[in-house]
Amino acid sequence: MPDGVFGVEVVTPEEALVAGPATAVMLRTSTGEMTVLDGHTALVGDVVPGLVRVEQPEGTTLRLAVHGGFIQVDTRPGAADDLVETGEGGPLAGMSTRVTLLAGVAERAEDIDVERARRAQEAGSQLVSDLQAGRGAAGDLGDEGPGSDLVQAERALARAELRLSVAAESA
Amino acid sequence: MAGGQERVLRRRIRTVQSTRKITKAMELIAASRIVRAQARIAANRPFRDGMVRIVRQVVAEDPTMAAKMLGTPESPQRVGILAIVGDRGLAGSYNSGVLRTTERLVAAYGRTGTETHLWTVGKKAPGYFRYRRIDVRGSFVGMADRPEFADARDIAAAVMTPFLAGDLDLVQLVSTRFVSAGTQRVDVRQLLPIPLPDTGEAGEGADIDALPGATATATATATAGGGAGGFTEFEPDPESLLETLMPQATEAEIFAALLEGAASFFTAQQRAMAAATDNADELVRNLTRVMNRARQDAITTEIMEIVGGAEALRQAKEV
Repeated sequence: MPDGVFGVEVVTPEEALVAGPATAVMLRTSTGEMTVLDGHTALVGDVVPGLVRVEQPEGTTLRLAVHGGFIQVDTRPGAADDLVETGEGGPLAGMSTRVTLLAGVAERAEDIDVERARRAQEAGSQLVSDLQAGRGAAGDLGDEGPGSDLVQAERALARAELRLSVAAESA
Repeated sequence: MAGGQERVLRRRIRTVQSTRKITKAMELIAASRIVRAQARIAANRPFRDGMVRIVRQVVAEDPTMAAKMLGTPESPQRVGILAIVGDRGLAGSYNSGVLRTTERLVAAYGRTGTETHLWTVGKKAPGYFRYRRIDVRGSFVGMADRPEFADARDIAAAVMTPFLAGDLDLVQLVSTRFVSAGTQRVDVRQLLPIPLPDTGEAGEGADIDALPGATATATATATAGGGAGGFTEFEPDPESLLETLMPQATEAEIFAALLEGAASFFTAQQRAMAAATDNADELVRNLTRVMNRARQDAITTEIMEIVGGAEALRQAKEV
């Protein structure tokens, strides 16, 4: 395998968005921005919602909106065999880095439906402010669970905003 | 009159033939849906595998901490059960297999005085349990044919909220596993807490052991052993990671079970409808045979009457 190239996959429960060779992956975890290059140590981390960039050997950059998930850097020999062709001999023979990015929801920048995201953003911000107003009036603080309407509305709004920003940057 | 029987039989044959058209159509539709459902299982596989790898790597870092958060509780007092069946019938034993296993599980827990709380997916479940006076705490319908990840997320939220609040010690998942196109089996596995990968059934309650197939099978199929050799970085620390991983791993597990359930449903329906079509063919064959005999009888009788009448006329003339 050529120097500096490693295997990367970005997968959601519905499909694999990216699966193949890359030279760099840029993303944000809860502790900050990070760039994964070939030879990175083994890592498990969380990925906060944001833009993820995957630089490919041909020089193109894939841009994805990832709505939260996990990253794993696997450095066991042969970990990336199904993603990258391993060259015979050379200093890196048998060594491989596999970067797996798991996300419940994610999409490639070019697949984002800007019109739909804009509508979702408008509806979402309306709903969030309505719910906040309603809760303030009722003085009800007990409904903070992961399934509560407000939390869900805020998440939907955050997803719409992320889509818009990723699509705008990539345009 | 003899022709009456023939007419009745002809009508019955027509009825069977039109039923056959319906079963044949359902068979073909189910067969075409199997392919799509199977493709979705395949598309989900990288995500599942990745989730298993991550959980395993975190567990390998700090097994004692992981054992506290994961694994099977010694003697669960309050158990949640999530049963996944279909929205429609006419699928052989697909629905009844899961429903019966769930009922047995509830009964087994009941004998040991363990409280059970039941959630169901699929339109066929609530009626079954209502008839047997088993309470259903929540039921999800209308997505069993084509489950979306958002559905899995809703279901996961429903069972996770009481678990996280400490109202449930254990959550079991009863669903049909799509082993291959030829094999599907009903399977009970531990959903929450996330089973410890690779260790299998450490610390199993004796009450669960009594049930065949009710032991918690570890989600992970053993691939290359343990975590990544050597030093692994964690961002944030393993304990917080496990905490955030848990809901996502649960959603992933439920989604996979929904996908496999859908594929198994169509396979079962295709098989059931193929059998129904064959039965209709045989019924038509037999009825046709009976009808032909009846027609022959009618003709024979008629000829005998004509011959008899002609003979009588001829004798009357000769006199």
